[in-house]
Amino acid sequence: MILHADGNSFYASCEQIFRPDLRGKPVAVLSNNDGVIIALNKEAKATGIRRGDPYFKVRDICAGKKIAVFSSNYTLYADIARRITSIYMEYAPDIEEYSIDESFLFFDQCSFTKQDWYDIGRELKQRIYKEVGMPICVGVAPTKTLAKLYNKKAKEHGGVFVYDKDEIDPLLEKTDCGTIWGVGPARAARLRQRGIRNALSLKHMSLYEAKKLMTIQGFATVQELNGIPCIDKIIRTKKDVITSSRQFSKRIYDIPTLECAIVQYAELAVERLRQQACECKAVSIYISTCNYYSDNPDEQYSNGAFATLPRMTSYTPDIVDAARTLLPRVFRYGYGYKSIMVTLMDITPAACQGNLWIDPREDIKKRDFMSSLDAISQSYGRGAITLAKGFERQGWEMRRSFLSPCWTTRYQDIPKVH
Amino acid sequence: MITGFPSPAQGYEDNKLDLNSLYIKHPAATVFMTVDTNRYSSSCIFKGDLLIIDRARRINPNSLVVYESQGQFVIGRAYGIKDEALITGAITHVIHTVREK
Repeated sequence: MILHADGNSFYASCEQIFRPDLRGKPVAVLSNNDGVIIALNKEAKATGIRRGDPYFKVRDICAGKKIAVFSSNYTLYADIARRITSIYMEYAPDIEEYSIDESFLFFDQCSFTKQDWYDIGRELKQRIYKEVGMPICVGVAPTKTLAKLYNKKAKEHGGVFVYDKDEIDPLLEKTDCGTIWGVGPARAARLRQRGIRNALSLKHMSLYEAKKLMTIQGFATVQELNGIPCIDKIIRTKKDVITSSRQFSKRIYDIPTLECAIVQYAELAVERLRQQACECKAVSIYISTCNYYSDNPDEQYSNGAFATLPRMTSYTPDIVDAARTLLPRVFRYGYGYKSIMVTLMDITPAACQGNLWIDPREDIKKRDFMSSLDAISQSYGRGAITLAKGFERQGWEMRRSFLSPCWTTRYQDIPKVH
Repeated sequence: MITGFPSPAQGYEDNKLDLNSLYIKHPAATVFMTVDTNRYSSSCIFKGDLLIIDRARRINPNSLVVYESQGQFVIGRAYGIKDEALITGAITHVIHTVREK
């Protein structure tokens, strides 16, 4: 059996954990750069604002309805997710973290009764709420597609809902096929043309027809609705490309400011590279004005460049230098740049093959330097030590006007008792 | 080149003492808070102290807990709290920094 668990309004709930003054109050979370609303709790949904609304359009409604608005604090959300996952691990050794707020727990034992599953689901729900402060819903079923469906229906069943082979067909009959995982609006429209509206008729569709109409993915969906596991656990392997990119809060017209941004994003990317215990052999940068909708060609420009490093490395200064020297090659005067992307490529696990002709002592020195740097960042927070060039901030960094404290990961930010 | 005598302590080394392992039984459920008031000094909890709160620990009536009251985190004994849902968790340790005058 597969248990699917997800946090209710995850980002908004994270923001409420350490804010007793916000119990039962509406909460909204904004995207990077405070652009659009990406999460709402149920109290905030009730005020009529929607996910995807640009913040500047609903600012007055938020103020009028006293909605607590937050910039996204991924440091906090990642720590809460990590805590939740470690509790899941006590129940199932095999877990797929499908997204920051959603996990599949795989169980081998099939001797459990329906009641046993309810007990496990309820215990999990209670524990995560009591120990971490996150409300979750749980769905249990023999396949991932069904587990997700049961989770969706769990809200009407006290937060935990378990598959029953005698109840499944009436349930599917009441379910629009467009809400099934993997179907999506385009496929739902195509299905509707064939007279398939609810999930039960989708379940009874012939596999041949499903594949013809919706590729191999549709085939898998129909199989899964029939209780046959078809969608495997996604194993996230180490990334072979690492990208670090952001949009700026305002346009940048000069090289020195862009260079600061490149240095800082390259630093971040290399930090991630070392976290994966990898090295890279190439780096690329990409700058853009992001005026995709502008008809005026004088306002649109984007360009990228690529450099191969002399050797495999995870040494920040070397990689940052390579990225920095690419900038004059792509930079053109007269444009207002809005975003930058730094990508590390040709990534392989560290130290699997050294260059025989280079003095290894220098490598060891660099590696030691980087591990001290990482240790310092670990205890004093990211950015405690950075390259001097990246430090000259000139107001271009991401806009996060409503950022909450990192309650659980920064000593300066831990909550206060009064 | 390796020279000299091997250390007589070889094979006897132990891990460094780590307060996390001593004080934190349930890492996923443990949070830190700081005390911002002197009104708990009768319980020997002073302004600036660090509280280790274990949200997984079972609460007894006599447990010292952090709970929510009027939109704030406060400290109290569990028996005095009407609604169990308001309890954040049991305080397992109080870390006080000694200040020299």
